[in-house]
Order: sequence, then structure tokens, then C-alpha cells
Amino acid sequence: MQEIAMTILDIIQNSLRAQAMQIQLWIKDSIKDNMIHIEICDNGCGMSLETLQQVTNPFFTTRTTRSIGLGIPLFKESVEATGGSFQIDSRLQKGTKIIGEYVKNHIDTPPMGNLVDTMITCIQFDAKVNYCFHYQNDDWAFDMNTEDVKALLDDVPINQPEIILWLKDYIKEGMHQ
Amino acid sequence: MIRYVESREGENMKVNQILQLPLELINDVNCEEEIRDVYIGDLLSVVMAHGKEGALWLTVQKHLNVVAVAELLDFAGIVFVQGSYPDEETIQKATELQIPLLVSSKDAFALAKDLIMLGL
Repeated sequence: MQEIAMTILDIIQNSLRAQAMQIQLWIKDSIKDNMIHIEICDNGCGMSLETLQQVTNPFFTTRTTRSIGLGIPLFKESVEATGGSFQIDSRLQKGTKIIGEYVKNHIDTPPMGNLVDTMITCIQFDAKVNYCFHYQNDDWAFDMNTEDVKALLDDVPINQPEIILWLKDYIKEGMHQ
Repeated sequence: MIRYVESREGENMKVNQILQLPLELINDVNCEEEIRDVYIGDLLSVVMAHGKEGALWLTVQKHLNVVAVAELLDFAGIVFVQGSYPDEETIQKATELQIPLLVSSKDAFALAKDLIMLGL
């Protein structure tokens, strides 16, 4: 992926396919610690130990439409190409947690890309899924939980166009853009 | 000396016809596959999005993921350029899938020029 935000979107799609209702995205982008920490945690159907051991192999996939799954292998490769580390942990019926940590000043570390669009795309996709978003860098932090937003909305679906437009501005502002 | 091959309409060059170039086939596969295009790229996601079926792919990447991309897009073969050499696991998987793997010490541009001279 050319941008980290696109990789995150790809990984979140896995969570959605695993019927996750709660997805946590935690990002720490720090010059001081020279790292970009990406953590995606979901409460989807999870994986057995056997599946987990094969998941970074591109020739393993649970999809039946094609025999090759490159989402996780590409994320792992991209992180490791920068000297960073990749971890995946999962338990059946509990969920999955993926951590990728890029070395920030490595020449092969992709640019962050548009996290606002990634968040909005996710929220828009399915109003029933809840997202807990945390971003921090050396100077500031931003937190957003779609459950809090939904509490304010009463019965209006969160993916209504007007709400999405408002949310987009809200996240943009929070992300100092 | 590289022999120039006249490209005839409706007939594509096969992988075994490029073996006269300064490159080496490193796995035991049938090289009868036709080369319908050439693609140069190292960012796998971009190659996945833009590579065409039947393409010969020139890259410096040598991870197992390269074989997955080639299989997904039905590439004619992979050339590891600039002395890049894949590991045993990658070679094995490509052989199993009958994807020709070639290596060259030349860089992608120099090799592309050779391929053009050959009539590709």
C-alpha cells in the first residue's frame, strides 16, 4: 500500500468480514520515539491457533472467491521492510488484535495518508458497528468513540449523509487539519 | 550479441525466447507461457492494481508475496533484477504454481531495453 491509512482500511475490512461489532483503532505517530504504532483490535469471530499460524502466508485465505489473501501479508511485509515489528493475536469467538510498528524515519516507511477518509469510510459502511479511535503524536491526541456520537443522535443512523459530513469536519478538526 | 526477433502480428514471444538475454531461469518450470506485456514495479499493491494478465514482471522484491501477486494476476513470469535473489520457500511455491522465475544482474531499465531489442 502506498499509504498507511489504506493499509488500515484493508485490515478493518477483515474485521468487518469477521462480523466485528466493536473495532478499536489506536495510532501513535511519534518523532520522539521514531515510530508509527498501528493497533487494530476487534471483537469479531477470531481465529483458531491453526489459522493464526497461517495468516501471514499469502497462500492462505478464508475466502472462497479466490485462493490468495494479501491483506495481512502485505501489512507485515511493509512494516518489516522498515525494520519495524508486526504482531497478530486472536482467539476464537473473542476477536483479533493486530499491531504493526513502523520505524518512522526509515526511507521505506509509507506516508500516513488520509486517516479522516479511512475513518469516515468505515463508519459509513455499517451504522451498527462501533469504532473507538485514538490518535496521538508528540504534541496532541484525538479520541473519538462512535457510541458517544450515537448517544447524541438518538435514533438517527450515524451514516446519514448530513451526520457523516458533520463527523468528517469534526474528525478533521480533531486531527488538526 | 542479441538476435532481433521480428514480432509477428497475433503471435507473442514466449518466456523461453527471452532466455538468450543476460538472465537465468532458476526454477524447473515449463517456459511456454506467452509474454503479453511487461510490467516494472516494486510496490506490490500498485502492481496488483495495474499489472495485466500475461505480463512479465521485473522487480527487486523477492518476498513470497511476489509469487502470490504473480499467481493472482496470472503473470507469464517474474524477473528479479539487480541481483535480487529469492529464498527457497519462494522458489518452491513458484515451481509448484508453474511460474517461471528468472534472475538478472541488470537493472530494470537496462533489461527493459534488452527486451525491446529482442522485439517485445
